[in-house]
Amino acid sequence: MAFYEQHIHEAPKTFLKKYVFSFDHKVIGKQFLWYGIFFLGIGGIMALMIRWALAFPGVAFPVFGNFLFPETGGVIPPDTYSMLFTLHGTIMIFYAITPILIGCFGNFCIPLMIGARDMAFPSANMLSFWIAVLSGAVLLASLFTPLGGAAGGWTSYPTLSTLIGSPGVGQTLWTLAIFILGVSSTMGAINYITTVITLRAPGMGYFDMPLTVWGLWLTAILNAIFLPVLGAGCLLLIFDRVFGTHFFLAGAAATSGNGDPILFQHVFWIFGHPEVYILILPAWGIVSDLLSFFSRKPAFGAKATALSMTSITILSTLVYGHHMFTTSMSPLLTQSFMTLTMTISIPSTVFFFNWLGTIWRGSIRFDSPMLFSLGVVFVFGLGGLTGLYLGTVTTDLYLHDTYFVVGHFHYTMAASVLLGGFAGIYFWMPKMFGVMMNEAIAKVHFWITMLGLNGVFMGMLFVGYGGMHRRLYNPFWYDFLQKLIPINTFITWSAILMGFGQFFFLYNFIHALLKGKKAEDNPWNVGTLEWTIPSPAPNYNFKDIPVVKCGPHELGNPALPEGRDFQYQTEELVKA
Amino acid sequence: MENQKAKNIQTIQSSITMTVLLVSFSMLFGTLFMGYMVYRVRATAWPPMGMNDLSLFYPSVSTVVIALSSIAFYFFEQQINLKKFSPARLYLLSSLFLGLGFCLSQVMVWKDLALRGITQGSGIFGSMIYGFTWIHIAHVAVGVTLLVWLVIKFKNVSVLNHQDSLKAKNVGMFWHFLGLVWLLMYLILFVF
Ligand SMILES: [Cu+2]
Repeated sequence: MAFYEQHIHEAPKTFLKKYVFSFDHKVIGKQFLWYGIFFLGIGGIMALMIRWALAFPGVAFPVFGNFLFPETGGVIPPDTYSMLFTLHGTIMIFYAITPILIGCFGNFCIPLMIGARDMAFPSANMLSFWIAVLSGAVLLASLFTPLGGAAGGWTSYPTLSTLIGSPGVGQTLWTLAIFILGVSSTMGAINYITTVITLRAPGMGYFDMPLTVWGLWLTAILNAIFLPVLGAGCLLLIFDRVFGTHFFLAGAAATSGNGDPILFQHVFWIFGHPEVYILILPAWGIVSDLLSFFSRKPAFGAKATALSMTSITILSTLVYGHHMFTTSMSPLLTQSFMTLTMTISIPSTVFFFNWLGTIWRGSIRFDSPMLFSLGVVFVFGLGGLTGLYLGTVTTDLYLHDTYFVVGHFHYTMAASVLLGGFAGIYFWMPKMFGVMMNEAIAKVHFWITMLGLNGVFMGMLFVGYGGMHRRLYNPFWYDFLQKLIPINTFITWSAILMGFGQFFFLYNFIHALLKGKKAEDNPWNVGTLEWTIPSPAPNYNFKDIPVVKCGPHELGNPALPEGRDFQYQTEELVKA
Repeated sequence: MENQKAKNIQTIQSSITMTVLLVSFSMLFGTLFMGYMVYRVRATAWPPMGMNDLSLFYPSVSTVVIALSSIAFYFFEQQINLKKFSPARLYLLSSLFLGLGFCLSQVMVWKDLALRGITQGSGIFGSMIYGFTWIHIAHVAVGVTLLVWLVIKFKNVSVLNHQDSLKAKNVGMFWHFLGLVWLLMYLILFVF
């Protein structure tokens, strides 16, 4: 590949160009971070409201319940409950995880870690952020329509999401918002793919890239391929709702001829399963790197980790049918999807084993990024294992649409990604903002979060196994579920604990930004390219484009001179 | 030397981007075609009742017009590579007008369908004809805008710079792609 040096432009002077309409990938990354944290807050409050309704049915929601639902005296009404779980899912997946993991870390880390001065197309990058803002605005606007926001579940299956199930404008705006966000993410993805292929520093082969970049790159590839599938589904749904087409209407719902509601499920999950990996791959990448950095050891089988992530990416495109075992598919199909799903265990096991191999006999430093990474190892292990029961047809027929599913995907997507995201924030904080966060508070934050989230999601696995359906307003109308009230109350208290724990993070984050300890250039003593430059990263990153001479995980090499246990990627590999 | 490197990397970047972009668009339209296949395989009779009297006339006109537009664009690219800018401009303009002609012929397609009493609400087949052509025409509108942009870019060009030739090439790829998508839609919705 011809090596090419991007020009250094002068640093922008005006506030608008510097912080609002910036072309700088670092600023855009931070914008995505604010955006994501904002929506994370909203989605979190929604989660607490859902939990409140499940633990204390018929009791007014504390503090602002009376303000939000005056007509019921502060009790969350059933239709609002449906809206809450729909928007909680939508917001967390598309407006919190996606912007933080992909938008923030993707933008911030990719150029810095591959030794580039910016993305390949800075203006498309900026546009991608502002389109995401537009999408967020449309979604928030949908809350203020006469019949409220979307309430058909985050999967928005027809007939729930057609005019019969959701007559209000809210669902239409929801669909539009997702479509717009798809455009934004696709633009970002194309930018990431091109950047990684063309702008790696001289000497950096694909396997010299940190695994973080691998994860983000694979995510971008999946995004570019599968978001348009969801986009097509959204467009057809909008046509059904606004222009009276019949794509997803059948039976009595269709005035003439037959559409097919199940087709939407196919379209949704052809996108939806890869989406799971779109969300988790960046976290895997980050964790794979951090485990090595804080064990002061090279990543065990880094090449195999990268290749397993790649094969999971490829396999993830072939297994979507496991979400639809109960749609009366032919047994031949369900069994094929089951078999394909199970094959994903092979590469997953390889890299999970590599994670353990990396920490094995390392001289582990329990700094906050490492704690969160170890947390990911634990929760992702649990999430992956519970997935086996859902990927198997026989057990899934019982567990389908129960809280077991909710517990499973929260372990994989919510817990792993959340902890991975926190690990990333604590780790790159010095390079992003030039300040260190307080370690002691970070550790408190970790333990409260870890306790809280395991209480919540483990509890969900239990009540789901007990047969509790995932979308009931008040499941305790059913006699056999009344025994589950205590566990549900426990889950809710755990959720409140977890929510409370996030104030430690907020305080720590804001305090660090305002008057945090100034960070050194390389506070964690790691050798990847972003740590060769000053903290915070200067305008256009690298004064001279670095030349890469070794891999990203050269730690603990016994041949290194006294007093050093790592080397920079710009240094020739030290041999004994 | 340094300049040549920059040009090379721009060429590579633009071809990677264009490839990924076209893959994305193919997935979008591919999803529609997958939907078509599902509906068609499940249907008891095809074309469904009341859909037998579709006219091929306007859709065929559309096909010819967009094909000619693509061909004109191809000659435009040939001419700019030969540095013959006045015939190139002529080809570009004809490509643009044929593109507008395609839009017009699509309007005629819809009018003709409406005359025969077929609307987007007439069962799944009507939904597909209208839905697919709407999505396609929205992309064609973007394509036509890009053609106008190229016309402005090449208004008084006398030496070809690298950036402009890349832009022409990428717009061309998009435009040919849309022609191809229309051809598929013509075949599955109207011919077979
Ligand atoms: Cu799946």
